[in-house]
Amino acid sequence: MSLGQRRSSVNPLTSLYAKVVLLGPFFEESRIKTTPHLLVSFKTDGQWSGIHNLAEENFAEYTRNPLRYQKLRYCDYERFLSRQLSQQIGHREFNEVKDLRIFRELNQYLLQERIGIPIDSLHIVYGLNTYDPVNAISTMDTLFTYTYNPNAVAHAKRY
Amino acid sequence: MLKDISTTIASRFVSGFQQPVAVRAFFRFLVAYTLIKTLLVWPLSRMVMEHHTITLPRSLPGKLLMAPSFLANYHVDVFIGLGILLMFVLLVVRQNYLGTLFFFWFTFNMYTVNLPFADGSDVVLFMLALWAVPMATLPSFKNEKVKIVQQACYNLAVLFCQLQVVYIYLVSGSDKLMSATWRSGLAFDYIRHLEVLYNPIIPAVLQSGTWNIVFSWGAILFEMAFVVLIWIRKTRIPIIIVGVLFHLGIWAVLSLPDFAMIMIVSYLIFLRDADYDALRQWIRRSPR
Repeated sequence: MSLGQRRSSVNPLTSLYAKVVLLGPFFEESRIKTTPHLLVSFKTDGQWSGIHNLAEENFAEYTRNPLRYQKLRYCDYERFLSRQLSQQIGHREFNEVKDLRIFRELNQYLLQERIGIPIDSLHIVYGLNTYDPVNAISTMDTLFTYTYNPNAVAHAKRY
Repeated sequence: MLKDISTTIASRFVSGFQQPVAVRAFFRFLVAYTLIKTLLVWPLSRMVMEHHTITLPRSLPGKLLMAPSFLANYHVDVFIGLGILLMFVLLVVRQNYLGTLFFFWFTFNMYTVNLPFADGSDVVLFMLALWAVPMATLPSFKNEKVKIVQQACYNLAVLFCQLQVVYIYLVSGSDKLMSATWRSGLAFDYIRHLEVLYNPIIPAVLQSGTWNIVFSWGAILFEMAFVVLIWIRKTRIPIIIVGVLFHLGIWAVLSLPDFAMIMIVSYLIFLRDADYDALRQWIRRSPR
């Protein structure tokens, strides 16, 4: 067991201590072997758009202009939403997940911040890309995929 | 003899505030870093809070701790605006308990608000801010006993803050040392294929298996060496310089500016007042 591996604890104080005081390890093996990807395509006026790899688009903008630091944080936010959603839903159908807060948050974010135009349908795919150094190829493991009417999904935040 | 050693150690912690100039500089840089970061992510925090809802804990202490996050749930601009005002004040006034406590409170809640896009640097920040709470010299107490307690808390906080930074390297270094992927250099092959993290600035000539091993072992050796060399007088400054270069490299190659900056700021807790004097003299001596 490495120093950074934490034992689960029922005591909230020791659990908090393990979570925040015992920082690291950073760049763990598991974190460098996979890259999460959220792919998005949308239908407007009966036409499907091309597939957008959101993380790659953000990262490309940052590498073109490192002052666009915020683009890196957009990647983090999309990764957070996708990972949380995939952990909560397993392989459930759209009707079973559409009312989840995290699904509504992802939907609202995509509509308002990434697409920004009225659309009829949305297709989202989330997966983990794993690199195989022996064969020098990357393979994607799909964790969820949905095609649905985004306008039928309620807002995530209500004031 | 054991009694003498323990008396010497104990007296070191109660014989005045150790390295006050260096500690003040560390705190100011920590505040300045947080201020810049808060300003940079403000639009993003606002955007996220339009969609995201923070759930408050049930306990009263939890509610008090996260009260600013509750404010941010509905008025994120007010929360950030107050935080920025606080940081401007902290940059000009001398460290006092109220200021250091409010600073920690703000960084913790900033972490909570920005959790959907937070990374390791945010956790390091609020931990450093937590250790900085007792690093205040004001108010100065007249009662001798209270003064001794204040100095002991101050000096212990500095030591724990240093240990926190060292621990980060110890954990990361030992984790890499125990990983066959890191030892074989394969880790760098994986890193180069992190499509949304790896910045392809390393020239192709440095992308061979041999260089993978050099980079992997370079990282392991630096992290393990830091744990020891930072405590030795002669190697303290050289290992800090290596550390700065190491993190600037990570910033460039792995697109992690926040993490690089917070680690560089954390090094300031290892500097001494004499280092600032030497720097001042060096600046004075240098030709204009």
